Amino acid sequence: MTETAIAVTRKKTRGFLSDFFYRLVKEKPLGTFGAAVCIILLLVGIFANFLAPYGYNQLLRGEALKAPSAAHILGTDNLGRDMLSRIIYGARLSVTVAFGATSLSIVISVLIGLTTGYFGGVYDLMMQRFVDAWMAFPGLIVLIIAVSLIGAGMWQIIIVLGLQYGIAGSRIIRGSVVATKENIYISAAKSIGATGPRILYQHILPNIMAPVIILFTTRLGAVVLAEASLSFLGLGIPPPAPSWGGMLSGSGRSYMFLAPWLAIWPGLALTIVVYGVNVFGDAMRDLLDPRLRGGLGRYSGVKINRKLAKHLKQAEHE
Amino acid sequence: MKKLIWVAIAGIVVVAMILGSCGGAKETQAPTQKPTTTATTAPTTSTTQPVPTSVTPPAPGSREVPQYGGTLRILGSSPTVDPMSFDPADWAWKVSQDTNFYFEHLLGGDLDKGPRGTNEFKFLASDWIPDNVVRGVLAESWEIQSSPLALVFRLRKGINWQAKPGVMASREFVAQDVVYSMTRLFASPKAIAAYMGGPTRWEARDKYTAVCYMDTFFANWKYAIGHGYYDIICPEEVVKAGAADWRNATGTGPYMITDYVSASSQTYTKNPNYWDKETINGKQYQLPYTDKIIVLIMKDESTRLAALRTGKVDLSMSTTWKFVDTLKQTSPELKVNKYLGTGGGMAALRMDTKPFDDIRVRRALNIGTDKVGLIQTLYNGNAELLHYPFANDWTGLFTPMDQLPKSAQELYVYDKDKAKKLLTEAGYPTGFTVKAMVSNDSAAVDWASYVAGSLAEIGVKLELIPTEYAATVSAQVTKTHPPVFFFTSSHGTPIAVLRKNFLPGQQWNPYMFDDKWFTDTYNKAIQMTDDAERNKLLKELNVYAIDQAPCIWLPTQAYFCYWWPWVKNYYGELYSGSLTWAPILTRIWMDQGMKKTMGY
Repeated sequence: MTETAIAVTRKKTRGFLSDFFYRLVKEKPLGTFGAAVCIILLLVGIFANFLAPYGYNQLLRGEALKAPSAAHILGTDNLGRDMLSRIIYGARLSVTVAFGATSLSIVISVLIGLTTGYFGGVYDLMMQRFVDAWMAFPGLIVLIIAVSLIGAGMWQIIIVLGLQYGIAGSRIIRGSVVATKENIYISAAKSIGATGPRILYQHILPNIMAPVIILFTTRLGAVVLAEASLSFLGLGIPPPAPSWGGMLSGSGRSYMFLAPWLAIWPGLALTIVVYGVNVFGDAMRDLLDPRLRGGLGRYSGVKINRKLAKHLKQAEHE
Repeated sequence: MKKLIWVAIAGIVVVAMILGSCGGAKETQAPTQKPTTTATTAPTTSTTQPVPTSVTPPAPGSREVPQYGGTLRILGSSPTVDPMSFDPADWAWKVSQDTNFYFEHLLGGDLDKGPRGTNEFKFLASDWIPDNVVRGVLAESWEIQSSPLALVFRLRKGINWQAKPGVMASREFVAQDVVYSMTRLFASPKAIAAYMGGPTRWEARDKYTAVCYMDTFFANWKYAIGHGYYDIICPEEVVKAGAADWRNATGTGPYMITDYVSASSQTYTKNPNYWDKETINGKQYQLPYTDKIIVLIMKDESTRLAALRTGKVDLSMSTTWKFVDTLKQTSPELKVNKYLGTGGGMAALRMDTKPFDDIRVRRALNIGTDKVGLIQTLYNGNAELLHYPFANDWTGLFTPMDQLPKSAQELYVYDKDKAKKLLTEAGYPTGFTVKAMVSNDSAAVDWASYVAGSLAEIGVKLELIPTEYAATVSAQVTKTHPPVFFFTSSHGTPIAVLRKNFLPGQQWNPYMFDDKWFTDTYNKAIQMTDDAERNKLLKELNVYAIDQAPCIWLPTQAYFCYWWPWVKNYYGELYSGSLTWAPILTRIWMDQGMKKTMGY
């Protein structure tokens, strides 16, 4: 790029968030779809009471196993409950479990990763061996055993999933912390007498927020799927709670020939949500990748006038 | 441009999802409210749809000549439940069903008085056999001795225990085997109290005569020690080797257990030296006919259906109504017999804890449950409202709905307002929340969810706790179950059903029912030798128990027994004694040529 080209580039800065969403829409269409799914899921979950035409366990007498129609957009189940209402309330359940368990897992990952990465030594050694052992167990088996011991219920599921993913995810945070603590400003902070907690909170934590955010979004999909798996196996949130996995396992399977919509709608809802959350997480990871920072590139907030640059380049050759 | 297209697609999908999630909200109703349902009309006595059946009793002399060989694969009446024990002294309710292929009873049902013969009795009840249909199995004859009071059983001669390497050599079955087995059974720490009325003492009068001495006469003795759940004869050698281990089992029965895979199957292989024969068209044929019987365990209903449709299963005893039309279309050759469930389903309400110590609350929960709606919704009309404690085919004992006292009839009429009024009178104007345990199979969960949804409308919230079946039984036996407990219980006999459900301390009394008048009247009834007088008291006890509302009485659903045409000499029977199905299955023969011709 010639000096002339550089000279004529327009410096246009955007805020972090606006730049992020601008780039999301412009460069990551699937990620945009995923973001839309996440937003819709959140809104449906929050406003379920207003959106759902019936209660999730409201029995509509004489309406059992009705196919989708104008009266019941998604049909009714074998107990005469409106499927649309159950899907909507299921979204609330999924949102609660997903965000609750994921938040808990992030807190645990950050606590473990931050302290082991920064302090190191014997503490780090012991903790990482524990994490190794934890990760050696198949995740679903651990979940099944834990739920069998402490019982099924929303809070139990949140705690179990939070612990499961939190401990496993601490590795990623630890890696970021180890890389960050080698920066010169950390040494500078130490040299002026900053304490460990202060350095952790003021200097390291803000600089590892990108991987934390990425971890959060990628975990969401996994947690939704894990909760659905547990409910499918009968170990999730007890009925008549409208867990999508539970709906698939129960009436969805029993009435597969008679009323296939009992399995289709919860299955579709799960598919869309998990896919949407996953592609959004992927897009987040790409957009927040620190290796793409700097220069006149993505993260600088500097907009390059590509047409002018191309024109000038041609002119130079001529 | 490409990016714009992608964004447009994403936008369309988003809009579609928004429209989809908001679609039904045009006239949003308050989530828990629905137009008030007024009381239903007076309950009908029967809601069961007409009975389809392929069972045609054969004309005399027209039965087909049996063929030997083949393997019979079956799904029984409890296709999701593993054997709970192979040792009768464990007093597990399923032990007879799993072991009577090789362990036999003293008495049983005479199948020639059923559909294959004189058609006096259908053999669809899980436990009850009328006296005129009882025959001797290991016992050739029996009599009641008055002084001292005793039951005298004369045993069949020439019956042998099969050899089992490492356990016992083959030897003759003798009276001492009965004495040992029965003494051990009733001395077991797990023995059900009052099962045989009072204490008994067994003695071998001679090699082929076993005597049971009683202090007082017990009218239900045939059920308790003749063809009941636990009175299977098990030899001492098997007990010493370890009766709980199926590998040690050997018996006098038509088959021997040769394999058991938990949650999968039990395999029984033919006993070539079995003592019993069947008479067909005047000629005697050695039993059994098939080489093997495999009892399959399949937890998933769709899998059971697929197995039946593809011929992997020859006989399926407990298909539900939802597959009837599908099977009619996909497998029209299948034979079918419909029967009402052999017991009742209930939501027990613990009468020893609040709030169910108050009869008004118990009545409110009955009146607040839409039972007629449940029959239509869950069973598509294939169920009976009133079939427990007494079965509706117990002639002379069962009281039809319209003959029950008004207060008892009310329990079956849905009336939300009356239910709420009762709750208010009892001090629960806004309802209450209570835990409810239910078995975690999907049918039970649906059943409980329906009741929970119904009760939610009167302010009673059930917090369902789906639990593995074995764990529910454990909770039931140890009385550690929560205040509401969904369970099913078989009929037994008129005396047995009253004992096991309503005498204090009984295993099948999760309601914790303890009523002095009931107990005293029951004890009086079981000692009566006059059948008519006794039945009058039993009838009164049944009505009283219903009226006390110890549980939410729930309808009994009908089931469909299906079998392929190559399954011969089978007439839709289920049991010839308490879960005793081996004698029926023993008489089945397989037309293997037909099976091959049909492509299975």
